[in-house]
Amino acid sequence: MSLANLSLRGVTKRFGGLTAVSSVDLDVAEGSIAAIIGPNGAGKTTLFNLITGVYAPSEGSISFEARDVRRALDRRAIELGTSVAAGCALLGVAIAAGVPAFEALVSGYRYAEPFAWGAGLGRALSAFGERAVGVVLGALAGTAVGAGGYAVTWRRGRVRPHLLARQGFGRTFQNIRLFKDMSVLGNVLVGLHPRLEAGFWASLLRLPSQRREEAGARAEATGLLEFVGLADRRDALAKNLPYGDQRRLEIARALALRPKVLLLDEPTSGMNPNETQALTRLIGEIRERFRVTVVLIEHHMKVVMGISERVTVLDHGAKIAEGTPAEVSAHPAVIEAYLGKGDEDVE
Amino acid sequence: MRRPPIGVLVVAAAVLYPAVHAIGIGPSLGGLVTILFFTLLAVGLNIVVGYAGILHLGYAAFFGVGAYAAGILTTPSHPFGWPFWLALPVGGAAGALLGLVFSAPLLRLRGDYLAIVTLGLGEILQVVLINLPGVTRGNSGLSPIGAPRLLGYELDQRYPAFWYYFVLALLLLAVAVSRAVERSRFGRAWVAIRENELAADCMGVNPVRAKLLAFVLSAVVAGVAGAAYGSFAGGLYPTAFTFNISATLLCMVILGGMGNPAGVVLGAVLLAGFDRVVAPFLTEQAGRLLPGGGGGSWRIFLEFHNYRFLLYGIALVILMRIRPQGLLPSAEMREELLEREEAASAAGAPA
Repeated sequence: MSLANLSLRGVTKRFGGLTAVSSVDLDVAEGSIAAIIGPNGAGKTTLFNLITGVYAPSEGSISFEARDVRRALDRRAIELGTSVAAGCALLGVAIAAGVPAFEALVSGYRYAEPFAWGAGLGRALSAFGERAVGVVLGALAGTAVGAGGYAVTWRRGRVRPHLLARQGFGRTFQNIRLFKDMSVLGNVLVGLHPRLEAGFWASLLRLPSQRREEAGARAEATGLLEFVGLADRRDALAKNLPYGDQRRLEIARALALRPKVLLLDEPTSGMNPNETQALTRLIGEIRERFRVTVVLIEHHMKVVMGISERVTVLDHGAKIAEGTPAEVSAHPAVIEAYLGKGDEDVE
Repeated sequence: MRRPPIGVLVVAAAVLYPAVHAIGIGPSLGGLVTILFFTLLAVGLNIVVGYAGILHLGYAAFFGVGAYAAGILTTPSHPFGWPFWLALPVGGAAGALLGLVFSAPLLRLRGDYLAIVTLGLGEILQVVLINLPGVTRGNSGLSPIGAPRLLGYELDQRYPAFWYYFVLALLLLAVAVSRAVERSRFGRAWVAIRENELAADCMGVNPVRAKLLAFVLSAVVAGVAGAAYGSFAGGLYPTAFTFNISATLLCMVILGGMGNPAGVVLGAVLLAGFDRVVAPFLTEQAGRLLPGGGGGSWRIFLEFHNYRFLLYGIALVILMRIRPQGLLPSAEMREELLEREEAASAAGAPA
């Protein structure tokens, strides 16, 4: 077995008194297809939300390629925090004495008479001096609020979906979440967003470098649409696609991130047997072509048994079984979770 | 042949209008400048409301901050006496700064909560303007405001043609900026957040940063517009920056078609045009046609200007009922309509 590149240790998520996911350990090997199954309300989607940073775990840790997925305190964060604190300190000073200082500066000015700037600035400085205590307190309070606020924001921002997406997690949603009023192509282009580098001014002026990048992005997005079979609908609005196509568009959009791990939340739900079969094939092709690790939540046992190498079974937020599809389907706890206890059986 | 160059025709007509007016046809240029100011602001508001989907109810605050920042620097009642052309970018910068300071705590909120806070921001600014007499002269207003100087001319309100072309140029610039950013990755990030914030976040779009950009960019437009407006109006009073302005601008954006600068221009011209051109015309005609020159105590009912909010409301209700996407929806909607037409004509063609 190859190295586990996604690993969860004791991951727990509580919503108030409800424990949605309880102390789950999970290892997904690089390049494998792993399935997560379980009855409704077992915590499968919550687990996906934890892996992709929608929620931060209440307890436990998630690591990817042997590194904690949480953002470290890097130099950029410290620089930004320092400048926010400095800005808030200035704001504090302005609130404490800005208006009196301004009034002192302009006092003594008569319409159309020459104004003595030196004296004005002296008055403004002495206005600050008279309120020295307030100014110092304002600066201190501003620094405290700025630094504290930034620290809280940074702490909360350690786990965010866009950060996880940039680390290589692409996902789809159980209840499709497309950008409905955007074109099909536009949806895929959003997936390319983190890899595009054009700056704001380059975009504003439509510099050649930005145009080239946009053209390249369009070509790449069109290629992905061809791969999932939607290239002929690229200018349609996403909301006007049939249901099955919407699911495939979600996959194309996630692939645009060039993910290392692709998480599919019930990719075949609401599909007929033909569509299900086609999508199962597509998942296999995705793994071959894009060399991704696939984690899927699925209810169609045929899909699960057909393509996944390891199956994890959740019930009431806890992992109750794990193994190959054959092992899991024979596991007594799994049968019990799905079909109920056997003690009422007659004969 | 897909799209006739309506935009080019409209711009050409707008550029040529003063020549037509010179031979005595049509409404005065001064009235049109006000319409252009409203249009400019609506295009700026569209960045935050139309693209990023943030319901912004305090846009007048950014307009006001830009106006007062530039006004204080140019008015002879303060000692600074800056030339207008230097104060104009300062107005934009002041708007941006206010946007930056307020959006840090603001943008972590969503939907209705965010809207309420922007509403509060607009109200606070007006109270601040009234209660800082040493800086803003309070209710007595900051007046006069320095006019731009160009080639030795002091271009105040007596030169409506200058203002007409100047504000028209600002408007075209704002539309060009909107269009350019709309087609870039930043514009796509805005629309993605508007459509589904969670999905956008999971696609690597930082929602806070994207909203911040929209907020600040629209604040810059408002700030520059404010700086120019102060000079045009010649004086600044807190009552010029009430919630009514924010609400009217929002009506223009929604009526015209959120997310499409051309639609927003149409909405703004219709609403502001009613206020500044149609209503005065109707009032004048009523006064002429009615016996006694329209005098008498019921005269006030013929001030059509006073019906504007009633009519805006009715227009919005009707629009929401029959055309919720606005008069001129965004380009992607048009593409979709076109595609349907093509499909229909292909189906109708003989095999």
